[in-house]
Amino acid sequence: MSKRENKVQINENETVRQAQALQARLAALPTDAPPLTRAQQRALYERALQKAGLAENSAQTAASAANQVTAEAAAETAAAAAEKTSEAAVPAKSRPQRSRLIRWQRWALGTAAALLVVFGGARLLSGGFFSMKLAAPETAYQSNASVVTEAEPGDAPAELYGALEDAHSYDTASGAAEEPAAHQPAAEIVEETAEETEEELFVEVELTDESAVQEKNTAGGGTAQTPDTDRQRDEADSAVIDGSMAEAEQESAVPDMTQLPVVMVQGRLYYSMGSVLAAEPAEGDLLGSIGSTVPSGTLPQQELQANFPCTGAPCARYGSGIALLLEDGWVYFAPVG
Amino acid sequence: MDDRELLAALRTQPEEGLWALTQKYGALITAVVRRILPNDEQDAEECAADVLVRIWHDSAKITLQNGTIRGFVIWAARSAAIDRYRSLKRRRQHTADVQEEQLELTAAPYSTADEAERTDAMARVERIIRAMPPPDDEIFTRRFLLCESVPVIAARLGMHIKAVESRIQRGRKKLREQLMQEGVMPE
Repeated sequence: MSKRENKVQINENETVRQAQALQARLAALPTDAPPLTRAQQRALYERALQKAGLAENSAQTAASAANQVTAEAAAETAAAAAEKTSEAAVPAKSRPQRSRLIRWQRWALGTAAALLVVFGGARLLSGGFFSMKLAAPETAYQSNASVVTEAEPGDAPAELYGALEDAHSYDTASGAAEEPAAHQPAAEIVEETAEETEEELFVEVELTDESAVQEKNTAGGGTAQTPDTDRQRDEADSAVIDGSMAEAEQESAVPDMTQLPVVMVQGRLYYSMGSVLAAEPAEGDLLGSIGSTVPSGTLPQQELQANFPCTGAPCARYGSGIALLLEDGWVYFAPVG
Repeated sequence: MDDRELLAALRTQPEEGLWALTQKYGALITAVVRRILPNDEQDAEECAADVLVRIWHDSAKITLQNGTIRGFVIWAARSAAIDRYRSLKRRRQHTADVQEEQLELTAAPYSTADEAERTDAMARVERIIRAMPPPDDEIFTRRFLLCESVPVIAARLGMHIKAVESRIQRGRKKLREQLMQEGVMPE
């Protein structure tokens, strides 16, 4: 390497080092950045995904990726929040809750099948001969389900329908699907024994549950879980997570007032993030001018007092906050709390 | 997730990486962008999304500084916002009145295609700021790179607004002379 080449290399290295030093300088400086709400984060993320060309699988992929990141942390909170909320408003799909759903579904279907056996046995014992065909309601996870018994819908006992309806309504309330109500005829009706039906129902629930998860992951087809319903469920899921995290977000959204410009006007504190208003307040909104100041790092205690040097600055009402005429123009101050 | 893991996620699992980036730096990016595009909510949001995509796109080239990419993120957000501000201004669609003095430290736009130009610009800014005595260096960094307002800087540093302004005025004069000497700014 010649001396000239060596010198150029040294200069390049120095340039890179200085650029890195600037990055380190910037990284070390704290700056005010109001936290984004969950919805704002989601909107920003989805916009970025679209711009990056990563949104081929639409919002489903985006939501599942987002959920995957947050699911572990939010699962317990979401499940707890879901339990407290009414069934209709609880579309959470966290894993623990889904497990409970499956267990509950099994119990309901098992009870229904047992009732069928008892009812059928009683009818047989009483000498009646019947062939009853019963269409089970389409649940979210039963896209290909063909639930089969030996009863006609009209002959089915009310308890059985009640149990199945309960199972379905619980399922629907859990956000698994927004299908029409129960009693729709199944695609295929086959005659089987009640015991076989019971077994098949359990297998069906498990298999369809897994297939639903696969469908969700692959954004595939299927009649029971459309992208629209999945998206709705993701949005609702997000809403539940939002709700459970709202308190924490609200808490973290409160900036440290002593580090910001704060004024007291009409007995209330107002803080500024430095937003300069494009429009001036109306003359009739003038409230006076700042009369005194307190040292920075403390909060004003008196009327028309500020914690930064701005004595004499005119103050006016502006929207829900106030505006102060500073060197940059009318600077907006938002109410604290 | 620390920034090393975040960069790795951006490279290998873009969706998850972008989500983690949004969660960690979305607020900072939005804050910096909004200071340059204060009255253009939609443009600011678009610009913030652009910044996320650019960082994802450049994730293989980004190096950690003291274990963080925060400085790079701020620089990228500011540069992208200036690009958009100037673009909007050319099309006369910009209603906000951002003082040009806030933007003059970065002559070179952020460009993923021209990393060398970006590095040069950053190095030049660092040389200028390093030559300033404290607290002028912080005042300039906050005013010109973080685009903070004078009252906010004054409050943060416990100084009078007038004092901050006069330091900025003096510093700008020196800055112009230096940029002219380097040929960055025409005489």
